[in-house]
Parts: sequence; structure tokens; C-alpha cells
Amino acid sequence: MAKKVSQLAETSLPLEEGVRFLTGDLERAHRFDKAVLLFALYRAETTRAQAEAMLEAQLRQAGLKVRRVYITPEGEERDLPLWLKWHPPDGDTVIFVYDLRKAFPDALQYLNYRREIFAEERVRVVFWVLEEEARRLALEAPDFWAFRTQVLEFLEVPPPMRRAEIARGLAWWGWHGVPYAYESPEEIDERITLRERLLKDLPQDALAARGELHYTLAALYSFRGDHDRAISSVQRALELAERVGNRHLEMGAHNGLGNVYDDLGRYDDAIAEYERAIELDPKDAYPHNGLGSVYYEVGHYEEAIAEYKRAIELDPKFALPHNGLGSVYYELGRHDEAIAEYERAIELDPTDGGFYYNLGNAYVELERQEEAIQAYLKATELEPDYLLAHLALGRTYRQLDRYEELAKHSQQARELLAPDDHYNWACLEAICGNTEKALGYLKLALEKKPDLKEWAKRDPDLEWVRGDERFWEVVGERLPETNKEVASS
Amino acid sequence: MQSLVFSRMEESLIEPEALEAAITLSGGVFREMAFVMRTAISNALRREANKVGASDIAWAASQLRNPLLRLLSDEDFALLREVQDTNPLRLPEPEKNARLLHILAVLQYANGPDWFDVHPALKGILEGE
Repeated sequence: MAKKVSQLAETSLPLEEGVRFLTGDLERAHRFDKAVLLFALYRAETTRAQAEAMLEAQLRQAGLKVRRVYITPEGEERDLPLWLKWHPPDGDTVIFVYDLRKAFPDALQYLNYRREIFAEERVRVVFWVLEEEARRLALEAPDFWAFRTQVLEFLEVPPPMRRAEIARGLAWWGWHGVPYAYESPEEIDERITLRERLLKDLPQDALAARGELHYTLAALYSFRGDHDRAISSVQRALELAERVGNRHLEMGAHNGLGNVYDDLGRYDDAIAEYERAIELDPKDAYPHNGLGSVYYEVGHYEEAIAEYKRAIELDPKFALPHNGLGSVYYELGRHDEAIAEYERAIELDPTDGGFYYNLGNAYVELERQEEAIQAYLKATELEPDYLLAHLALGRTYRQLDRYEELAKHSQQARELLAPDDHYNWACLEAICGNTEKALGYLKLALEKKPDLKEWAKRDPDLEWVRGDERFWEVVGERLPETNKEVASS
Repeated sequence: MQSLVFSRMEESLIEPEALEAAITLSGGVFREMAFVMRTAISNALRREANKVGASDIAWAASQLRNPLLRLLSDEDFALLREVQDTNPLRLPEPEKNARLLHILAVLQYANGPDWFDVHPALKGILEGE
């Protein structure tokens, strides 16, 4: 038996070389438009994640994208060949497949019977498999297994300290404080899955690494709207940071907790957390930006301006406080200053569609519709699923009587809207001139969230229904004189 | 086997000894030959070599061998040694050992009366034991 193990080890390549091998095969398959079925064998999750991060970076450099497929016992993906036939990847995409074992033995049969689909669809796939999975594939899906292009082995099981070190590096991989704005919900889920797996793999006493994984995980949960998990993760990060004496992470955790409380509208708690973060590191710009955001939310604009300015002073290249400052100026009707701040935010981070959307709104206030349209279009270019930007485009085109473009963007908004997002349905129907429907949705929205009433009274999306007496019935008021004129016109 | 290879690639792209080694490694099985060549070429490209050489066939051998090793028990090894030494005309305990044929650890040849041998990728290991 010892002989077998040594023979296996002989053919394992160093991790970097193994990854380069995979990249080479995938690049060539892409260039010649051929199928390629690669298997990456691993024993430790940390080694796998390290190889995966390296491979993804190399593929991105080569202009290729990665789509991850997690096999589950009940999911459609368990019949992977058929699923790939129904959801064919574009030519620039490499599929990463995980957890095949979760759908054994069915997945094995599907792979074996429908193996031709891989060649027909010319898919480029990397299967991340444990040795036991590879064994079952060879044994129970032999015809599919014979199709394999290459098996690369990443079998190193690093000692606990090394695993912790790798995991710490991976916790921050592709990280810049917040998730990238262009990341889709699926990508956020992938980042969450990576960290959850690493946490499972790490020994309990790898405190520093666990703390950093929990910290970044919390921000990702929060981005997904999973606030309970975000709070518990960030609290765990805080506890671990205190235990290992990592003051920077401790500060980050208080800041992170502040962000979650801010999202939940727990403004007093958020202020307390940001202030604690500032106490721990008065030179960090993030908690000042957070405080600015809370003060903006509660309408304390002077305090918000002071905090945003302090954040900028501490980190002149930080885009978010410029955006925040822009929003305060917007609320104060200082639209030229708002535009200058949004433009500065864009200059510092041209990848955030939200900055362009805000810029568009400021232009609208100054009746510079053409510039607003350009800004909104840029927002949708950066984030094609940006619902509010599509609605804003619809509204602006309606104001300019450009109905063809209105139809295009309202259709896109229609496809993006969740069925229970009654308020935005009301906006969309109002923009499209469907007053009855708009008011129906608005009624539902206000029953659920009466706080929206004040905004509804001045929301530019609803300007076409505010002339209708029934609008005022819905918001529980009488039609004001000014709106009567609009109604009669 | 040689004509199969040359119908798909230029003769000048593989060292003659490497081709010889590839044919031996395939055990005369077409599917295995296709796999050996595919894997060896991939390795040659990784090395940025102009020709497929002996080291590429060695890589292909490891690609065939390692998955097989994961499937074999110590008991299987004893049987494989016996098959290698005797090239039997029938597989010992066929019902029990058909699995070894199925995974191509043992190959069945039909030139004349059927006889059996071990997959060439495993031979070095068995000899080393």
C-alpha cells in the first residue's frame, strides 16, 4: 500500500505548475473551440481553494470567465450534461463543477449515458473532485471517465498553521472593503460558499484566520440581505479579533456591525458601533463614512457633511464619501455641488453604477435631461440589472416624449421587478401611463410600508398619477390645488 | 496504432521512440491510445516542446496509472501479479474479478485463443513490488 501512495505522489505537480497546466488546456480548448474535461483532485479544502483562486485569476487574465455549478441531490444540475445542454455556456466561459458526490449515484449514470453532450456543446469544464469521487467516476461512469482530458492532483494537505495562513489570504482575495458593485447575486453566493467551506476545513484554534473569514463573510451576508447571519458572523469576528488582539480587525468588525445596523434602520446602534470603531482607530476613513451615511438617513445633514468630509480628509482616494456628500447636497437642493461630488466619486471608482445613477438624478433636478440619460445609461451598462436606473430612464424618456426608448427600458424594468415589489411596480405603471394599475400597486405598497407615503408625494416617477384624486385617497389626503391644475391639463 | 496516430498528426511531431512507448502503453486498446496521445500532446504543449517525447508518454502513463491505483485493493494486486506472470487463458475467478476487466486493469486479447495481461501502465508498479 505504501508503494501505491509513493507512486501517486511522484506524478503530482507543484500547485502553481498544476494550475498553469489547467490554464493551458483551457486556453487551447477555447482557441480551437473544443471541449475539454479536466479533473482537479484535492484532499484539503484550503489547497483546492488556493488552486481555484489561482486558476480563476489566470483565466480572467486570458479573457475567460468562470461559471460555478454546485451539484445538489435535488437540483436540475445533477443531470449535468442535460443541464449544460439547456444552459449552454458562452464560448468564453469555463464551468467549474463542485460536489458531484452529493448526487451519486444518479449523477454518475447521467454523466456516463449523456457524455456525448460535452463534446457536442464543446464545453470547457473543470471538475473539482475528492479522490473518492474520482474513484467512483472511474468505476461507475467508465465511458465518461475515458473522455477525460487530464487529471491534475492537488493533494497536499497543509499542516494546520499553513492551512490557516492560506485561508487568511483567501479571505481577502478579490476584496476591497465591500463586494464589487458589478458582482451578481450568484457571484456573491460563490464567495460566501468559499468562505463557509474554508471555515469548515479550518481547525477551531486557527483564531486569526477564522476571524478574518467571519469578517468578510458578514459583509457578504449583509450584501445579500441576510442580516441575522451578518450580525452573528461579525460578532464572531469581533470576539476572535479581541482574543487574538487584532485591533485592526476589531475596528473593522465594529464598523461592519455599524453597516448592518445602518441597513436595518437601527441608527442609534449603528452610531455607537461606528464611534467605537473610531475610538479604536481614529485614522480609518470607513467608520466616518458610515457615520455620514447614518446622519444622512436621519436627516442630520450638517453632521453628515462633517463626517463625509472627515472621511475624505483621511483617505482622499475613497470614493464612497464623495457619493455620500453628493447625496446630502442633493437633498439640500445644492445640485451643482452634488454633481461635482458624484463626478469625483466616479473618477475614483468608475465601476460603481450607483454613482452614475445618482449623478443622473442630480441632472434631472437641473432639467439637464440629456446628461441625465447618459448617466443612467452608463449605470445600466455597468450593472445591466439595475432596476432603478431602468425606471429612471423610462421616466426621463417619457418626459421627453421618446416612447420607443421608454418602451424598451420599461420592459427591462418589468423583467427585473420582483412580484411583491409593489412600490416600484406602481412607479413603472405610472411611467407607462397605466394609472389604474399604478394606484392599485401603490395602495398595496403603502399598506405594507406606510413610511413611503411622504416619498410617494414627491417621487418623480409618480408625477403622472399625482394629478388624479384617487392618488390622494390612497395616501390619505385631499388633492392639493397645484395638482388639480396638473390633473386638468 | 501507428497509422491511427499518423492519420491525425504529422509524423514529425512525435519522436519515434515516444510513439513506440505510446503504442505499448495503450495495450493495443484504441480508446487508451487516444487518451495517451491526447494527454501526451497536452504535456508537450505545457513544456513548449516541438515534439512529443518520452517524458510526455511518461506523463500519460501516470494519468492512466493513478486512477487505476485508486481502484485496486491489495488482493487485486496479488491477482494482477499472477496475471502478469502467467498470461492466463482464462481469468481466475471471473465473476469476482470481472471488475478488473471492466476498469481495464486487466486486458483481454483475442489474437488466437483469448489470453489476459495486465494494463501496461501498471506493469512498472507490479515489477517494483
